[in-house]
Amino acid sequence: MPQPSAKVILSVDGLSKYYDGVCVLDQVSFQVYEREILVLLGPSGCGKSTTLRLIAGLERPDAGVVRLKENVVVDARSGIFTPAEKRNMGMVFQAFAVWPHLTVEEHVAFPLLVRRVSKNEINAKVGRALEVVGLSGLEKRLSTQLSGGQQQRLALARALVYEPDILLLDEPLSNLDAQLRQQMRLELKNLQRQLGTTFIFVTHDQDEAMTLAHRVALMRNGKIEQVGTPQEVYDDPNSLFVHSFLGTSIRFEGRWLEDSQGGCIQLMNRYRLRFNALGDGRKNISADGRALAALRPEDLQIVTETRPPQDNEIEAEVRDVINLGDRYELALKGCDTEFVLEVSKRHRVNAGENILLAVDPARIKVWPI
Amino acid sequence: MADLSIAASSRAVWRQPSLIWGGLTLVAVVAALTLTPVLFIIVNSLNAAPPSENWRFGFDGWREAFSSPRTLTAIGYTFLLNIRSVVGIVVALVLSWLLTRVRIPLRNFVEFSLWIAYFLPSLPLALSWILLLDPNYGLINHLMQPIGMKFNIYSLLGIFWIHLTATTIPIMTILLAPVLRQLDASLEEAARMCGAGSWQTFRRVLIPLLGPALFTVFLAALIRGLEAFQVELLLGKPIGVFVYATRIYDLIQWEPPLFPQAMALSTLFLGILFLLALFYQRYTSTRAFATVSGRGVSFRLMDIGRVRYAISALLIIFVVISVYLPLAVLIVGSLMKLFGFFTIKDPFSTRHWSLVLGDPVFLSAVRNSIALGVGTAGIGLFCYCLVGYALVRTKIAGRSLINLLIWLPWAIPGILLGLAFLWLFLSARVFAPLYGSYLGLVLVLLIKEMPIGVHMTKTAFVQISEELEQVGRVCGAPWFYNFRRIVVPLISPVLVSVFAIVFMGAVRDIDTIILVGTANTRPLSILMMEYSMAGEMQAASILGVILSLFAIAIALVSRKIGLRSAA
Repeated sequence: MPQPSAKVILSVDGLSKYYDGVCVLDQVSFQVYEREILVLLGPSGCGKSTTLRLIAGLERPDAGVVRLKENVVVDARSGIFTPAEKRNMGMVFQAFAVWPHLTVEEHVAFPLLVRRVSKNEINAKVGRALEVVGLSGLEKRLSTQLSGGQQQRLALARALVYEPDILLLDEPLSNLDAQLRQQMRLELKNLQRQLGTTFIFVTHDQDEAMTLAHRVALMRNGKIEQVGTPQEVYDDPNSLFVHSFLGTSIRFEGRWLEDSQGGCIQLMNRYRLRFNALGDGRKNISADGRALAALRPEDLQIVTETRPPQDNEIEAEVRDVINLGDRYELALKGCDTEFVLEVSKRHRVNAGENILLAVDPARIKVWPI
Repeated sequence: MADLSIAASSRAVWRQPSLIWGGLTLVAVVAALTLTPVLFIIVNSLNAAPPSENWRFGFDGWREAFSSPRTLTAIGYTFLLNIRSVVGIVVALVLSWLLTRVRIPLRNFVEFSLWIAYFLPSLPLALSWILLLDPNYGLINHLMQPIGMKFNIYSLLGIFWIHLTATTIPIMTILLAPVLRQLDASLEEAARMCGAGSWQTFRRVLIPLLGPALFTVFLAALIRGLEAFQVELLLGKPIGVFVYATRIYDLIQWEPPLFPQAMALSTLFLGILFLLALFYQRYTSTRAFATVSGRGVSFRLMDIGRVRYAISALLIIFVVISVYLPLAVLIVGSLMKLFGFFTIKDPFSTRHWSLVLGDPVFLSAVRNSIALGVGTAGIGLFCYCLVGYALVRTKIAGRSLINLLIWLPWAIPGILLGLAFLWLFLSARVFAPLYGSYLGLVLVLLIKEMPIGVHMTKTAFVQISEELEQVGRVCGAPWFYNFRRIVVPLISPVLVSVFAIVFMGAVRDIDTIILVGTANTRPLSILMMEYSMAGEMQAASILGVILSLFAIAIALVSRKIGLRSAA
């Protein structure tokens, strides 16, 4: 975790990129602290890979500055551009990019040969790097004789062996199967903890982001939407997009209603949601009084007693009950919204029934429609 | 996302000055090499002055050329003979599909034989077909006599036959097979699973997917067919059949040479080919090649039961007829006392071999051939790689112009390309040292082989993922180190093929260098042409055998290296 006093190792300032006059990256700025994992998260086409490639020096920005440890490595205005090979960064690609004509050993030695490291040192460092990624014993294999997971470990060893200032990972796990992906996620996290290298990790997978990130930068349409720790971004999203991209988002359409107790969001003319941060919620309401209340499944609790709904309670119809063994999955429809809730088995619920759900008022997020 | 950014990055808005200057330099060099002969041809077609006088503008050449019935029939014959491209593409498609998708006994042998055919010079093949099908003494005609059948190789059909079997089909198959190999068979299998039968799959999935590649191959063969020269000269001239290329040669041979007419005829074909090239570029740039993804390509060869033996037999009969029979006959012919006369007593002798091999002219020709081949292929490899890389991997200015210009040398018949450079060497003092020099020949051949050379290296660069190169850069490797250690090894199989093709192209070339060369630089191919034109068929066939051995050796080497790197 970066401490408040942690040093900034890389700063990106106003980075923009156009392809054929179309803006794919619009004034992106963020900072990366030493020894942290920063995850660039977003749907495909949001500009996260482009950002990474601009940092790596594989492409040139149309505007903006990138600084690596006080040094400006690219500045579009003054034309400063340090080529990729002079930046001392490491990179792991989605398709691994292992060279089919080299052996495992030759792969890892390549960046050291380039740096004119002595032969003994090369041997020692290659051995250590392969040990770290768990490929010891496969030195003489051709890279194409490795499995997918091994190829990715090889790409990792190649990128780490020269102790780069920053390791850039461009969706490195998405070419692996689900099980291997989960395992590699944890391995990567351990590796980073062990080596202390700064990682910038690009992914579109929110689980990956939540598992790995010290901080997440959410991107959309070439812009940064929000930067923060995974918990911050999850609990306190500053847009509906962020709310729905991280975790499950259940949304109800309603209207703003002023009543004797102040104000609330009224759903279906029946249910009233009163949330604590009234002032804050107020400004998010459309001019015509309509608003969207967004919740997460864990913010809803089944009310076991039978009574008419009170404030911060809604009714939902149980469409289906799926037995997942240790718990039930309920397919629900309430307030014109279909959603899914997992509940413990102590709740006896049957399909076709109506149930009462209590909403945690502290967790309600409101956005204009 | 990654795909999007890579695809889009090739069309970035922002350009560094170095890319603009680099691009302009490359455009200038390529244009100088390719447009010089073109301008030479066009300007001279508009020359109305007699040969000994200064250039004067006029359309006399055009008028005379296109009012001559001989020219018009030559154009007619050219198109008639090039129907073989249509026949060829159908056969080649079926052949390459069988070779790449079906488990057929000896399919490697068949493919290798086609490689040999691809490298063989066509003149010796024509010589051996004369031995087989000469109307008077042809071996097959002799055997067919009892049943009253008689073929005549000196005919349109004869020329058609030799080209179809020895050049058109092998070239097309060789070019198509790798494309099919790269096409993921799951695309076809998916169609099968949807309920499409073999024919449906072929027609609705394979043909549309292969569209651009089929068109490329068709065009390449058509262009080469249009300028085909040696067989037409040997077999067509005696019976008065001229095609476009031989008609031009004929016009130049007049005393005094009818240059304006030759140039006018050539300009017409240049125009046609240029339009074809333009159309081709439009066509391919708007269609995505399904073939470029080299990753995850998987297919299992189909088992088709016993039919495979029948198909295998058919394929082997085809390669025997197109390659081995003519080769064998050529060897037999070279060992005869009198070329083609099997009926005389004791017809065989090695006397001609010892005469030819002992001739110092022969030895110097061997030296010249090898020097020419190695020089052209070596320098060519370097230059073509440079241009190919610049076109594929950089954003230099003027790429689309260069892409068009590099095809020009194929639109110019070799004989006129040679003529243009002969004129250049003789008229400009700076270039005078190139006349009759080894370097001059290499230069002309480099230009001649540029289209295929650049095209192949370009394809190679496209096919290796850009990431493989980028990761080396990020690791800290400077550009050239990265190029040498990562890029070159990755495309080495293609480099070997390019070397082989350019080498053999230079060694067997006749029409391009026949005018530029002198006795000092005379290679085997020219010597062979001279012998056969002088009626010394014995010596010509011996040189034909030797050139064929070159071709087989080259095919073997490139096959071996290709296989090793594929494994």
